[in-house]
Amino acid sequence: MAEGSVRARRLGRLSAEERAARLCDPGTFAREAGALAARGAETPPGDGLVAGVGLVNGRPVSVIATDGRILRGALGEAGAMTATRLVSDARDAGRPVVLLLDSDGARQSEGVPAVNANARLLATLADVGGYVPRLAAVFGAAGGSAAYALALSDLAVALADRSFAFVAGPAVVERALGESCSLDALGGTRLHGTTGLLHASVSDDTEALAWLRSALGFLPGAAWSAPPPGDPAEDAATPIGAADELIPFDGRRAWDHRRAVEGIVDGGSWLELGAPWGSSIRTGLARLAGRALLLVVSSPSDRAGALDAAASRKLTRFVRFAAAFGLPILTLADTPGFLPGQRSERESVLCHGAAVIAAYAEAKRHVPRVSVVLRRAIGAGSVLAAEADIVLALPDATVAQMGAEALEAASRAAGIEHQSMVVPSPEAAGFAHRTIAAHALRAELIRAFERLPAARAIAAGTRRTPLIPS
Amino acid sequence: MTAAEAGERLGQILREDFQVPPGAIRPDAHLRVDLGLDSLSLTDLAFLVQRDLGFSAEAEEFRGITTVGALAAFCADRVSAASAAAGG
Repeated sequence: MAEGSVRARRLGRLSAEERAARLCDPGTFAREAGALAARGAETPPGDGLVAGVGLVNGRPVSVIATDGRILRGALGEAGAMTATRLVSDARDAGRPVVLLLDSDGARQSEGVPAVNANARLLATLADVGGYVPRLAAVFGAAGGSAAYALALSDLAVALADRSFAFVAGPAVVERALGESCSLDALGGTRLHGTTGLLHASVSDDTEALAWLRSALGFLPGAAWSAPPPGDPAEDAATPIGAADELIPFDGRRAWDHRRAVEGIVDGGSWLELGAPWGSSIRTGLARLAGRALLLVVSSPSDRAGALDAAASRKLTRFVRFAAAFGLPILTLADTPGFLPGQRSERESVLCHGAAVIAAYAEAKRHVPRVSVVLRRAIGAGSVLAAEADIVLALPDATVAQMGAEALEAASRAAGIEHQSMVVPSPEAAGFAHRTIAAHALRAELIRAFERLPAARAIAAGTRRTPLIPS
Repeated sequence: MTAAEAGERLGQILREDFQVPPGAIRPDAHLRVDLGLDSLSLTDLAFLVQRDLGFSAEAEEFRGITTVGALAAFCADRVSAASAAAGG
């Protein structure tokens, strides 16, 4: 019996075999060759790795699961080689890769051969970026090379306060650096929810597997495939009525981004990614009349919707992900622009902001983009709305070089008479194609995406763009 | 809940969930050094005592609690506080 199996049951912790089987449609997971690969008498059959192929919602996925109860999930040479072959085969076959991680990384007892094999696995995972989606869940700890496998994944979920990821654990950190810290402070979910390593946090194994299944439901099997369609008849969860005030007119008043989400996308289809990371912008997968897309929405309740370095990194990451896998992009913008100030500059907001601009420009070559100026699109932050195939604006929306107070201060500093440069009508200024009332927005957006060509088609076995972590 | 009661419940968890020999479970036993619990096991222990005894605490609050007795006292204190909050 594996160590701690009673405890595992009480914690709702599944074995690697159970995780792989429950991720997939019932009875469809088949463990591939490699089950008997082992080195030495001390390693269990399969080398502590469960790897194979199964169906998720009827579509094939490749699954690699390490078992933290067996040698702390550390991956030896044989297991790493099996995983590498599976990842490579997944790219050739056009199947998403799903990593179910609970691992200390490379198996130290095997020395250099294990290090080498794990390094090859990471390189292969990196190499398939942009060809097939890479999803990961971390149960327990992901240390060393396992943490890098997590970081190479496109979408990652973890167990709140019970999952950890780090270069090296607290004991090593204390010995090497004299730095004493807890597991949680070093690599807990609250930390990594804000670093961009983790994109969702759930309560237990079962919820993590459900989250993965849900995410896979939005994605194509490969870059050259189409995303699966949803129910086109599904309505918004909370339709916006003619008398509803979606956005307050006063630009200084915050509003809840969820109202816009619930009023526009198909009910129950919103899967937010990276909520606490750069939270002045919200990103996630959603459906509009059944069509899967990336939804980007400003969150003025955080930093007034200003784009800081973290928000910019998040935007870049998910816009590029959408472009790679043919997901249309819908952007709902209400932003005063990129965040100024010393701290923001130290965090390299200019470089990260430039990456956002480049990501949107690149995305336009691959996928349809529709944007809506909900209230403000100021300065370079207007990138969220501009350069789209179709730009809409709510009646009270404004586009300007800078906000009113900033403009007044700049004018005073320059010794010139302050002149308002606010353009009250984005449509009149040629920035937006149409002005649309909030209650008509969902219908107009559905029509907009129907009119636009689908994602740029590519040949099987190719990719639109590589996905390099940042 | 008294510290003794919490200690009894904690001892049961240590025996059944962490396979700690009964003889090793003493108030002055060090969780890491004497009972051999590593960081992840301590995280599991924190989760289980909260769930079984019925209170919640931040992960950082468990840092600095190094012995069985200290953990029992902490649990008793938090359970009492939770009961008072519920009753008040």
